[in-house]
Amino acid sequence: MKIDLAQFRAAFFEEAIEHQAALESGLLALEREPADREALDRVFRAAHSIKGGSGTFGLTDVARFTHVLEALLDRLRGGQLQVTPAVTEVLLRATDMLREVLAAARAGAPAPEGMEAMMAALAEAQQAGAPTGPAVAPAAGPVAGDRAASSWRVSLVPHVDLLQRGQDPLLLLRELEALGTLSEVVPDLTALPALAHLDPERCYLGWSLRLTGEVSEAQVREVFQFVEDTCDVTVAPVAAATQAAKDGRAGGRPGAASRPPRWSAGRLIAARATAARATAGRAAALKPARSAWPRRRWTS
Amino acid sequence: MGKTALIVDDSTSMRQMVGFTLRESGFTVLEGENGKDALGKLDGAAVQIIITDLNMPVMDGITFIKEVRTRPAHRFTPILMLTTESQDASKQAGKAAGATGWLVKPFDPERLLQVVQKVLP
Repeated sequence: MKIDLAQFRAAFFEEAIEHQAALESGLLALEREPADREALDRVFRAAHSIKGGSGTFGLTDVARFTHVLEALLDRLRGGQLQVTPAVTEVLLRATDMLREVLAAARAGAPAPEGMEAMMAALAEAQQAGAPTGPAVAPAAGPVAGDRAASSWRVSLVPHVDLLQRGQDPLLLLRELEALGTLSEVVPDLTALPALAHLDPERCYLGWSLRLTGEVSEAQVREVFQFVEDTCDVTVAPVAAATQAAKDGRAGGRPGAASRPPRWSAGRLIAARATAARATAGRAAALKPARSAWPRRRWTS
Repeated sequence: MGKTALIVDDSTSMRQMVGFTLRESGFTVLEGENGKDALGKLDGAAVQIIITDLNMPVMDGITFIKEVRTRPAHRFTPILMLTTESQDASKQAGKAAGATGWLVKPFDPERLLQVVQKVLP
């Protein structure tokens, strides 16, 4: 589904103008009282909001400009940089420039003259007074975009408190299933306590499975994006021996070469049923104790 | 599907865009201007997913998430935070407070729907 947000563009600009005014008044307050934390927060929020909205509408100049502005304000908020007359002066000039940048973007005109110079001044102010720490280079690392390897051994062990974050292991299995064919799905019940000791708000199950399809490691890992600190996850290509058999096929029709073993569906259902029981237990725990009512119904 | 989402953001345009995207996908949408306002909307309402900004006046997103998790009806409700790349510390705090996932601004409607599907049972 394509959702067109163009109708909100005008609303964005109206709001951006309000934020720009808030930025200016906040900075004037800071100029009078550099320790005014509330004014600093207000100023930061205003810049942050403009930046957030600008990206949505592809307003690259506004986004770039407010990004540098926000970075400087963030250092002030974090205390790495002091609010000095020199800093507020640069920020006030930047706020004037922001008004022009917004006007140009609204009119679809090129960036105003002086925008780049103002950005350089902001960047310079940000460096001033701060020891230049090691550049935070995003770890490039292996991008793991190798689509060639298309059979993955995945192990998923949720921590007991996974449910407390509104997360659900069943959704992870569902998402993996959407990527390819699941087979050898084996639930790990070793941590499951006896019913009497089972806390329905805790997750005791783990799974290991094999995922086959035209899927990169990055795609598999993407499934676990939100659970990196509530699950132990391993993703590894299946052993070369198994892979070699599959390499015989040319072209790579997804899922055609390696049919899952016949019993895999049953295992998957077993895994789901186990998860569903855990989920049901959790749902039951949310409701007021009603254990008495069916009996009453039977007897009355 | 008849699901209800609660959107919490002090930016009207952001609420409009997130709301529009979700309504187009069949959601009923409730809105809050900040954490405190949103808690008021949450009481007594059947809400299946919450999407909240972090930087807000009156009550910020982190405090709001913590408050939501104390409500018996919403201890396990999926909560998505709206963050930016530069807000890693806030994101960590949000996770610690009980957020389920996050959505990085700039706001992209298709991405929102993907992430909602990812966390909504």
